[in-house]
Amino acid sequence: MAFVPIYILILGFTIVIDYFAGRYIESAEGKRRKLFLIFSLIANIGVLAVFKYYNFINHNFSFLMHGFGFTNPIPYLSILLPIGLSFHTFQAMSYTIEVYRGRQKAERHFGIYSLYVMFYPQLVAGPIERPQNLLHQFREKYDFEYDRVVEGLKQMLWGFFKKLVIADRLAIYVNAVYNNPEQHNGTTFVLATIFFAFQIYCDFSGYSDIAIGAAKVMGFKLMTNFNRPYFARNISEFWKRWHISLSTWFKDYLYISLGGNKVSIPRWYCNLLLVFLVSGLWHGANWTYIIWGALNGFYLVLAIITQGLRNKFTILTGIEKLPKLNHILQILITFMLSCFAWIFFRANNVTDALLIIKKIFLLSGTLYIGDFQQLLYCIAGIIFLIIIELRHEYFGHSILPFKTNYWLKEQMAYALLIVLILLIGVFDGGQFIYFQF
Amino acid sequence: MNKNISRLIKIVIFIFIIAITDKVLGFILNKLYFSQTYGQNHSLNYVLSECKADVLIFGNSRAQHHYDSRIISKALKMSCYNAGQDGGHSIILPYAQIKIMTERHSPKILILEFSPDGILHYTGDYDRLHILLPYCEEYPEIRPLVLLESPYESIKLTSTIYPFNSNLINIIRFNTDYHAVRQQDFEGYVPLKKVMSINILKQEPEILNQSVIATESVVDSNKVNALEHIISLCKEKNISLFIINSPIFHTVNEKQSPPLPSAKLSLEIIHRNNVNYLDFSHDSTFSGHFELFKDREHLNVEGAKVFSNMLIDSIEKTLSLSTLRRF
Repeated sequence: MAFVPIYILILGFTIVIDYFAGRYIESAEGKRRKLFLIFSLIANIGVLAVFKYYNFINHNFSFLMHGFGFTNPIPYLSILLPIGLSFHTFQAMSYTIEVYRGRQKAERHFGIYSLYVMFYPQLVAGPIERPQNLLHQFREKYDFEYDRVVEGLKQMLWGFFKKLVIADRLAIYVNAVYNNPEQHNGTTFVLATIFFAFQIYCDFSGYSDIAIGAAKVMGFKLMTNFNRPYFARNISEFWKRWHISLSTWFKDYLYISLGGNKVSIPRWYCNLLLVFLVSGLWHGANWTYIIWGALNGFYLVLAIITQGLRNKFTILTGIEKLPKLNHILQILITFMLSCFAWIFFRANNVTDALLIIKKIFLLSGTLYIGDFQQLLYCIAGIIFLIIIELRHEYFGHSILPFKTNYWLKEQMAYALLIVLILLIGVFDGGQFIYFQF
Repeated sequence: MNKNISRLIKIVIFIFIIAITDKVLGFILNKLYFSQTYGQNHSLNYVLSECKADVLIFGNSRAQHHYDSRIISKALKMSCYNAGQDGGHSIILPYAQIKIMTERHSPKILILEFSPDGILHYTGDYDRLHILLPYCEEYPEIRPLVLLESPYESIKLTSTIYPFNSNLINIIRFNTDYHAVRQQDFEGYVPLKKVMSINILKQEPEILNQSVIATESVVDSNKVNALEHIISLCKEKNISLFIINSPIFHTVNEKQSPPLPSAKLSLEIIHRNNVNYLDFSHDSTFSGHFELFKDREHLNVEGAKVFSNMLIDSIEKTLSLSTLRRF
């Protein structure tokens, strides 16, 4: 990651465009409103296209040209992807769309609008806010509220724990395995893929907790971004629990615009597939992300098609009479499906992903242990997380991990988190995974 | 008002809980860390505080696995200890070890495993310096070296637990005898038993990539300083310094690539200071011999045996030459 001060102009460019677009959309009438919206969307998507997708498209174009025996004359751009570009672009787009739909008044104050796009806790990796939730908060006056500040700090601490103790620790094993696919066997890839599922969850939800907690300390309320996704019982539910701010963004602004489920069945399936394809592309300019998105879309379509068949199966096998077992099985199957999709998300390229899948299906060889100590930390971290999340999922509703009525007990639990971070946290780990998007 | 006082008390209690836990746990970990009876931490601790061997070997994992202390000791008729530490390319860690050790004891011969590109900057090179954290309190002179890892280290070091970060399980393991046999070392030398697979050559693109990174890298002035300081420390304490580049795997027809332009600087420093430099990296004895390697960069137990004997011959020749020169 590099710091290039001039890149602030990219953010400045979209802020200026969207600020004026919002005002013109509000004051204009008829087709002109739509025209201003389209102009704003083109500007935003254009920035994304240049910085994120230009070289990817050009590379694929070169590949095609090469296939036909030609040389691609279009040069590559030597540019860096500005950090969090996809996040603040989507947040900016949600503003102009909401103004166009008449659900949000155009912001008159340029400073406040700029703050909406650049609000530091969520600027680089979300949650992707909606103007209705965030803009008005910048006009409110906040007094120091002890309980709110403490709650925000606790949420930040839990986020740091997830990132430093669990995600970055798992990353050591996952990177060692996934960066050398030739050298490892199927058994090892099964473990590394499960580890990656928890790594990315703790990395991203950890960041969200830090962002939401930091905002809360200052008095701002950001939307929930994760709701224990690995307890989802089907893929549809998984996407209602995972990266909620992005899922709802796509639902509100793309899926519904395409007609959602109020169209013919084949069109509905196409809508679902398209939304997930775009979601994959949003994550990164790489075929691995596109396949990951497509796979999730395919899961959803398949779930709809096989609904009746699955119901019959549960009745026939008698699982229906064992609701708890049925519940557990559904969670496990959903987790396995999401893990399978994560292979594409994590693999360095499609060839690696296919090799990994092939090895997993062969499932042979002894498990790569590496540093025994690392492996133990990884397993302990995952068990700790599952215990905390189980407790929340089935026995409580608080976002915070150690909510009890006993003050001292709660403080000791948070002190333990700090001690664990100091003792087993990885301080030289990488950046947050989602910063690259 | 009462509410504010009660909140203040709560904050004080919370900080107190953290401080007490940190102190108590830090104290226990400190005791356990220094009471380890084997393993890498024990080896490091032994070299820094107790070892009085005549011949000492420093460097990274290649040092630890290539130099059989028993062979060297027997042939040179001097006590020998291998202080090599697994991991990293950095010469800064051996420098810190030598700096602390020479204040207490001056060996007759100091062998430093070092490749000429060891002064180049590699990402994550300084991470390995965290193993020195438990020694910062006793040896404040190494604190500036530890701070090279990150300027925030000094803040983290306010905790007494942090120096033992990521080491908890090993500290517990190496205080028990359960793994003692598996982790056995011979005067610091840890033999590698596996034989290199021919398939390892599939890793080649990755290794090539690594050399691309090195080509594009710049000279790390901290590493240059470390190399110069080691040389001057040895001169000052009258220690015979041998800088050795031990064998790496290469095929019979593979030619030795010329040193990277920036790596020439380290050779220049070595030659300018008349330091004994022996380069075995492309020695023909090892060409194409899979059976002598564990992987491309590491000799196995058989390879270490061959190499240690070769090294002794070279050291004896050099030493007898320098003795002749003295008379």
